[in-house]
Amino acid sequence: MASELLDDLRAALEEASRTVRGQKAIHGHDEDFDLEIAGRGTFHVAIARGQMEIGEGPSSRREPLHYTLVQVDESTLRAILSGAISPVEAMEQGRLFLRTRIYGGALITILLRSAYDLAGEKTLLSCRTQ
Amino acid sequence: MIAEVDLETDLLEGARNLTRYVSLRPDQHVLIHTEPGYDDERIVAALRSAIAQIGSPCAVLHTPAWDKQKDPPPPVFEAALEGVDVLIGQGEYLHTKNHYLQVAIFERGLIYINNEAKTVDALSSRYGRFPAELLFAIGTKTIERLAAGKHIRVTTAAGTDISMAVSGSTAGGYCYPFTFDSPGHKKGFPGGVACFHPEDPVDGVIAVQALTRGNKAPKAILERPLFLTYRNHRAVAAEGEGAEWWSDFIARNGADSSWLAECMWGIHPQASGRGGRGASNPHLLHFGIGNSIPYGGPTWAKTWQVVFVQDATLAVDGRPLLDNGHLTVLDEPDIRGIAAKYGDPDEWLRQAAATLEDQFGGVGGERAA
Repeated sequence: MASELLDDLRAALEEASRTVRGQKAIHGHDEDFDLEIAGRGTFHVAIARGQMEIGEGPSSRREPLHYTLVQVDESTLRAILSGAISPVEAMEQGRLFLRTRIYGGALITILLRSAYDLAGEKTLLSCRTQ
Repeated sequence: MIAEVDLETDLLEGARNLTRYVSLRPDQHVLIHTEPGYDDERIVAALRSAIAQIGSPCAVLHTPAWDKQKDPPPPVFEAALEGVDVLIGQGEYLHTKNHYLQVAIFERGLIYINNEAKTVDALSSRYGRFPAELLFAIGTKTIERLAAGKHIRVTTAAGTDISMAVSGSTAGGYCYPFTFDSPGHKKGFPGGVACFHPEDPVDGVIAVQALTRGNKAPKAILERPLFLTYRNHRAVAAEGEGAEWWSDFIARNGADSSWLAECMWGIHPQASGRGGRGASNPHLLHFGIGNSIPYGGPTWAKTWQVVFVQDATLAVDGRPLLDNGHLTVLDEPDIRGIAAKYGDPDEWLRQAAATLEDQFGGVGGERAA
């Protein structure tokens, strides 16, 4: 379900944004991201002035130098959020695309990496407590 | 240990200029990387002094040289990147497609600044001291004109005539405030290139006049052009000098190794190859061909190959942005007005000569041999 995926994405990115690395990202530059999830529609992530907003549908802004289109499928996105594959690994495997200016779009991959790390830590913790 | 050296005023100003381009902050940890052949202690001292004036913690790491495309980096270098916010690469260009740099930039938010002003002369000159405000104004105006367009046509006297579409969201380069991409990017200093990822339809001919030496290319500067015919984003025919090499290259690596991924040209009027980057001068335009995934493009390929043309005309919806190698933005009154804040605008905005020989020779240039 797209709404369930959106809820999971929002929860993961909001938690990620509270990490040291996540804070570094959301206090970086202003950027609008559209996450085009194959067969599931589009979500937007807007980062501006240290705040992040995540919602359904595409971004209303597409300003040059401040906009990135992210293309990914649901299984890859869920694999990142569960700590199974990192964003750069997904990019290198042709499963995650940033359609943007040269070297643009890193705020979203920094946040996704933080979510990936948090998921990995939770998995490790659950193994230790079993 | 850095030796005591006298810092010339202009050299220190060039180093300070780098910190302005980065908008360096006191809370950012900086690493300067040097290696044999790229370790002039006067430049390192100037950079350290400029960084100290900002108040940023700074370390210098000198490593042995390594093949940046084929070999892993020294472990100490890779480990050091985990502890810094800003890397100033004084050595050879670090190929950012390497996994360790992809992770550093796209997952940890590293800011990698390749100092393209590799010599004391270059860093001290108007090239290295080119005001950030002026370069960013030229770059921003260039991108505005590019992003507002739909159709791009590139022609040269040597026979290039290729058309493509442009999407405003892929227009970029090293020519606007670096903070727009911070954290997590690579930029050249002083940079001065604009680019975009060509969109379909991509059709026409590139008359290649020079090419980078990776991928077993036979030579850098061609005596006769290599004519690459493009249909639907991929090369379908090759004629002229190097055609045999090209055909073998595509046969070995697949059709997507000819994918036209990037169109980039210089916007820095003072750039040359003498210790700086000739490709940042408007006289030179190049196309990046092949794997565009790490650069914001859509197509994966095994390879990356760069081909150059000289003195191109690049028209956006019929209006020249480049006119026979001259960047028309440099003539605009508001750009001249900003230049006048720093002295004689003609001195800042007059385009230096830049040739393919500049790009492929000397420190800071591509290796021709």
